Amino acid sequence: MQVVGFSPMLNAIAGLIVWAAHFLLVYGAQATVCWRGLAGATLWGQPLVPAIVLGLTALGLVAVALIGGRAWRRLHSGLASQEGEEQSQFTLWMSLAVTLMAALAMVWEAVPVLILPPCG
Amino acid sequence: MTPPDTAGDALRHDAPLPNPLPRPPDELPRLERIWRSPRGWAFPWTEVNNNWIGVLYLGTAGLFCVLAVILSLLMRAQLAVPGNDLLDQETYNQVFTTHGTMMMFLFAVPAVEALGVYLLPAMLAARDLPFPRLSAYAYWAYAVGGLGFFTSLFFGLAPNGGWFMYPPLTSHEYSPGINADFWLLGIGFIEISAIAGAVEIVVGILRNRAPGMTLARMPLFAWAMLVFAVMIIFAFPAVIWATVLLELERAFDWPFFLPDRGGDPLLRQHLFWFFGHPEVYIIFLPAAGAVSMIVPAMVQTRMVGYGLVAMALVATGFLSFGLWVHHMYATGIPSLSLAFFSGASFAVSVPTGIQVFAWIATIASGKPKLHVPMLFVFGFLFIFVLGGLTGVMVAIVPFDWQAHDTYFIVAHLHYVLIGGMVFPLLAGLYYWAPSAAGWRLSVRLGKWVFWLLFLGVNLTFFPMHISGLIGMPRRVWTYPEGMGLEVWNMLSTASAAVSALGVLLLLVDLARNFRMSPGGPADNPFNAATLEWLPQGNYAARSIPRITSREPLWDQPDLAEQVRQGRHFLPGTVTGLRETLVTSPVEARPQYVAIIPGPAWAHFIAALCTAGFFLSLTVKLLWLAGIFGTVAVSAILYWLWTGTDLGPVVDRADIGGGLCLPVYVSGPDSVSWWAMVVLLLVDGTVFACLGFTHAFLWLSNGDAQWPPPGMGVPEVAFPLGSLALLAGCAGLLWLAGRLLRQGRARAMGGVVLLALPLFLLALGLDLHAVWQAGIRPTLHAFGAATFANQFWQGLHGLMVATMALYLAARAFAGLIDPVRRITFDNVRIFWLYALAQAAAGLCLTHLLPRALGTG
Repeated sequence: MQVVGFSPMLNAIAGLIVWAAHFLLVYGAQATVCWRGLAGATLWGQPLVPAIVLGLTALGLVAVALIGGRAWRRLHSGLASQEGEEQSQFTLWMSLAVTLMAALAMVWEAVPVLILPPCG
Repeated sequence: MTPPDTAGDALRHDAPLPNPLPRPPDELPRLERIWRSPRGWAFPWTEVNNNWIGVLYLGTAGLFCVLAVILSLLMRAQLAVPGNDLLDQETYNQVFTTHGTMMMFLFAVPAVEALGVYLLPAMLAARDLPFPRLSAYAYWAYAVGGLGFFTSLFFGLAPNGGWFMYPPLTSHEYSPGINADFWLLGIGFIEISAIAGAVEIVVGILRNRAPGMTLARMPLFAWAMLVFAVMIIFAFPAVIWATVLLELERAFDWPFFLPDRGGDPLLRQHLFWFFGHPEVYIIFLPAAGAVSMIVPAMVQTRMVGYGLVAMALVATGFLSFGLWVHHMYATGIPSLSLAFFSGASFAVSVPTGIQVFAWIATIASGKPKLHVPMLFVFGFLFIFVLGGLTGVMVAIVPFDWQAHDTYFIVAHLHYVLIGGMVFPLLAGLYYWAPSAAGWRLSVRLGKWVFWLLFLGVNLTFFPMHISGLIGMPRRVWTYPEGMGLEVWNMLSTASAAVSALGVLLLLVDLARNFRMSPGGPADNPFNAATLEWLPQGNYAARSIPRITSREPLWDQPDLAEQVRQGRHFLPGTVTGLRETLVTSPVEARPQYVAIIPGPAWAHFIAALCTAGFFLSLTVKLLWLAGIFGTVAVSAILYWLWTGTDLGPVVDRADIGGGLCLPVYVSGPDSVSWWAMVVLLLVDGTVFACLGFTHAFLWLSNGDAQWPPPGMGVPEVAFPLGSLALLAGCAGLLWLAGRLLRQGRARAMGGVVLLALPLFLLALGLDLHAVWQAGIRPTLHAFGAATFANQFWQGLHGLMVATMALYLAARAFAGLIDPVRRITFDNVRIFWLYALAQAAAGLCLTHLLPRALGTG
């Protein structure tokens, strides 16, 4: 079932959906680890909470890079136009801009893990 | 039936105008007759047109604002001198709680929603929003219910636990009266109203734009309202669920928030602020959108950074959901968790900064004229930026620990809300009043209003930063002498009186100079660029313009005259009913002509009874609530039966430019399908909050208490049985769809009546399973959470039963066939959702304790 206009709108906000997933996973994982008294636990020899947070952040950054890269290529492929339901220049541009914002937010949220104790 | 992708050449900017002159002589009179407002005593109760409902809505929000301002003056009078006894402690508690609750729920959200209802159709050149009766229903439920809520103050029954109603203060033990219930149930209808409005606005903006008004050409106010409405869809469910839980705890002793039985008061804080923080942006974004419309008109130049501002609106919409714990810095949550939210709080200031710089750049690139709206925009920038800066201060965790629960926070939030919402709204009032009244409000009075409010607000709230830093706590009815607080409080009180004078002058201006006259003198006094300044009637623009730029009135000379002459699309009516053009969501290509309902009584009666239902529940008159509830549902069913799903009244509609469109579309391209999907997003978000409740209480209790000793997990045969019944029900729904495609509508109705008992049986079986396993809602939070799921599923059982019976009745009445099938589609989508939700509920009850706990 194809809904006209759905996929370009979804693409336009995809970066921020990645941000939302990253935010909930990072916060949920850290809260669970701390509430379960696993502050000192390790994963492959690394402290657990920083490993999870940085791992998820790396994944998130890769995801927004892929989304942003795809939008960039389409935007410069000559297919995009001002008039075209599925390849609108504006939604592609929005998709790209939004990934930058999402990447910035993810990095800002993750950096404290390098400084603060995991559950203190 | 799906619409063909037409449009083609008719939308090109160099194509000839869609309709030739001269127009048939009876075309315009017919359009005017169909859109005429009801006359005599039926007005305004039965009116649904957005021009009238929007202005009524805005006026009512203004009334609630004035009432809440009066409450704030009472508070300031009490705090003018130390040890004052004007208001006693209990009355003061009720006054500040009602002030906050009214400002947030009865003024701020409804006011911006009202602005959307009033402006959007004209701005998008739609004849009306797609579901006018829904807007009218939302308005009346809000107006009547809100007045009922306010009167609780006169009986000493107003809520007194602060606008966020934290337990344990608001639990039954510490708040045994019905004051708290007035908040919990009294605000219920506001949440329904807000969501109804949000459904209307999302669908309206995405599907009812002028042909050629692509997303890239959409006015920034529409972008802001789109983000606003989507945020309501994801934020309000959390407060609805928090409200449901607290009311269940108070009414039936289900201990969600009581730690001695496994509950956790922080659960309420999480749910409330998951709504409460986005709420600030829900209020601010439409105001920012309004500013982005007013500034270009005031300086007569195009908005700088249009794309960036649109992106900033969308990004704010998302990021503001990652801020809720910054209201909970002082609750003992680990500092790394707080740092995530601190990071997100800093991140959200980036898109807000983008907007502020875009406005400054726009002002700098044009020639600002100091009209009254522009004064308010400058006031907004000054006050809001100060509020934003103190916001960055309190986003820093250690600073927040010092300022928490002091007047510094009171100062910050009033700077943000008055600066970010009230000043833009007043700018909007002075800017858009001519579009409703045909002439401007007074320039002289407007300048007085501005200066009184600007000075009054700053001198009221700036001193509060200082009294807060000295240590004056929020929500306390008095303070002692000798702490250095006297001078700051007296200054705040005196300046509040100055602001009140400003409000009074505004009312004088409105009373003297504002008279509704839709279809009155066409005027564009500020030479603005967007479509709400086209000549308007109740039917909005005479013909629906073809748009080729973001600033059509600047770029398409003679557009106003062409539209007025009827040379653009749909210059009259094709069905003899009220109708509007439905376009595609991204590119705004015409898809079909939708028939929309006109004046009626049913939605009005339904709204009165909805408000009556909640108010009678509050005062525990269950029999009266039963009567109101039944009448409300019956009125809604009557409204649906007579006013919706009319089918293809005519085969094809010629709207001009060679475009021949259907007048009835079902499936994923119909606006009705979109509205149902948006509603399900609301529903799904509530269910996600239910899942969060389970996960949070499990974490807070530990594995050994999930389930606690004495409660078991039901035998696995029970959930398997329920699943089989749900699957059977889904199978029958598939069969019903097949029968309808074959044209056997009555057989479809029969199958639907077979499917209903299967669904109800599945829900009943699970209730039985839970009960026989010894799970009780009052003994422990585990039981309470389990029964919260039963409650939610049962509610859906009731809704599906109503919808299924309605569908079967329509099928047997011959009102459904393979073409005319929107009723069937909507019931089926909702029902399938309810099946999936029931299956997910089974996982919560049966799988989660097995996977996580010791059960």
